[in-house]
Amino acid sequence: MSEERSINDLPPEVLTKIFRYLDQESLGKATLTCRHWKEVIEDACRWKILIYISNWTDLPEIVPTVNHKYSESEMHRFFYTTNRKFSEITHADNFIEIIKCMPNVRHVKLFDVGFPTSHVAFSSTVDQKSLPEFAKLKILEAKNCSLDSIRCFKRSPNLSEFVLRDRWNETIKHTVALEFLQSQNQLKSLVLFDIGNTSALLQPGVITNDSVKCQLSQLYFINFSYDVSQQSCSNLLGFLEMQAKSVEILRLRFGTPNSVYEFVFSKFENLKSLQLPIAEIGKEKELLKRLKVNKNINKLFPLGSAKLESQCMKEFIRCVPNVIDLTLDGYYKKEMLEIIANNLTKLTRVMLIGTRINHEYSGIRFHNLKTLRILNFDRRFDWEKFTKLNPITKLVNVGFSAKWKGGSSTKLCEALNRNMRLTNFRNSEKYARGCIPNAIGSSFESAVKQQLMSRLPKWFRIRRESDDNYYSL
Amino acid sequence: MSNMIYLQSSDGDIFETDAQIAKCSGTIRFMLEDCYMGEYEGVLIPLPNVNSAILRKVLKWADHHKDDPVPIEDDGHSVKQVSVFSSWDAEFLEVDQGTLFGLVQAANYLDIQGLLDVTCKTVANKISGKTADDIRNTLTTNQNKFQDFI
Repeated sequence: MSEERSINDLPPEVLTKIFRYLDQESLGKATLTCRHWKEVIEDACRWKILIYISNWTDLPEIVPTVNHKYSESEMHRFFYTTNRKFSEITHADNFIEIIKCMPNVRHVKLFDVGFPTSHVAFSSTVDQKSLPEFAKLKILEAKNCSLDSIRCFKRSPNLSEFVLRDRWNETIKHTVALEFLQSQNQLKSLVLFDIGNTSALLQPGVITNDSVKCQLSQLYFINFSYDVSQQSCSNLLGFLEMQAKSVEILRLRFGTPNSVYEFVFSKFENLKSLQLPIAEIGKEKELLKRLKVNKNINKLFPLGSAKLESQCMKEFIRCVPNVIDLTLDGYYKKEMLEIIANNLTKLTRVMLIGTRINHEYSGIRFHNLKTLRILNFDRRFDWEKFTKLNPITKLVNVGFSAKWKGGSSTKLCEALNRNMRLTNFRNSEKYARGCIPNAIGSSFESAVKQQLMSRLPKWFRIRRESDDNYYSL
Repeated sequence: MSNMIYLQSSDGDIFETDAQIAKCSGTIRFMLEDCYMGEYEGVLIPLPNVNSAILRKVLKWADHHKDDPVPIEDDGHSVKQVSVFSSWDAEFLEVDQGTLFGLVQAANYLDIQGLLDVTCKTVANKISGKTADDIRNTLTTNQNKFQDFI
């Protein structure tokens, strides 16, 4: 060989491809090999750095490695799980030892840490320890975690998002959520899953104006359990009252008490984006009539609205006259689409999820449609007719596994680009790569390039899924 | 009817090959079908990024795999496992690291998915399960290019 090649002569996208064949453990070690690799893995792929500790006997070996490399550098994400061998976790010391090694961590995910079986032992040691401070921590997610593993991150002055996602023992977890609310002044985003009757948020006298200082701009309540009664949520309304001025993005899912909806429509004066299970509200026709008009809402995702009676849809649309960005799920009949198109006159962006755009849409004329976001085209969808009625300027593909192959989309690409010649395949691939940080998909003029998306590295799709739609859809 | 075309390596050597074999490369296929509009018999394609030794290997690989079915895309969700590939491939890739990386580069440049897959897997196999120090020792020969990056 005349020239000596090194692995680092390979372009980053090829390194990425190679790294995709590694398991998480090897990948973790690969980040330690050199700065270039670390950058490629963390920056280009933005994979979670997974510290997967299956057995605590590994700890002495792992801690020095982590410590050595990460104490000065920036570790962006910390994903921690214990493989459910929770009986072995009896002390918080070990855990704190690990997290101390990553003062620059920005995103922490905790799964199954300090399970309640070991809860008491864990609890007794945490508060005596001086907890490390995480100045850069922005996002903390927890699932099936004990109080104390979350408490370990209490000293995070800049935490902006707190996600609590689990399906059991809600009393404990919402107490933790409350503790966090009380200790975090900068918190902007709160995501709570499965709120039940025993949740701390619903207990009388728990939340007062003095105890909670943060002003949230994003609030997600992902599902309430069915035992939540109208009476018990007066405390919840108290909490919402405190946040009524600041919340701009609100997501409500199934089981939300009716009084919450009424409250939201009358009191949330700065609400811009709303997701709500409209299918459920549609069953309560009186409630629909009582809802006040909210002129600020410009982004709307009514879950399950395809199943709604058209009269209910009309009734509901009356409340949200200024929506410009609408997300639809499910299979809509033409009649319903016409109601939407005729009544939401400011609509400029439509996104369809869970279904392809089909023939029902062919003859619909939205007043102002500019951007269309879709998974894919149904073969019966009449693209020519649709674009004549709606001169859209941007088409975005939001598919998780965007397969633009097959008859309909090939035909579409031809229609769009009769005069366009694809001159350089490699550049187009780079172009598509360049789009990744901005949005889920590429823009209209690159429709042919979209076809080539199937050739993109696999991480492209994985990343889109995890970043944009992890719990939002 | 045989459609012979000519490929010119970066060293200037010219390789005669069957167009069907060369078409496993997306780059060449694109050139033949779009630039020459399918009338490509006897054309000369310069490949300034591939040297003779690597190009010879690539053509050998392409010749052996000329009857392979077109690979089907998976859904992109499954994490790929380091899988076993054919013994011919394994033997074919028993080369020094310079050549291996050259092949990766060429497969990437020429857009030969199959070759890119097996070469990347081979490199990944060399990394898999090793500590950072081991990786540095394994993947470098005389000149330690990792030094620039540490």
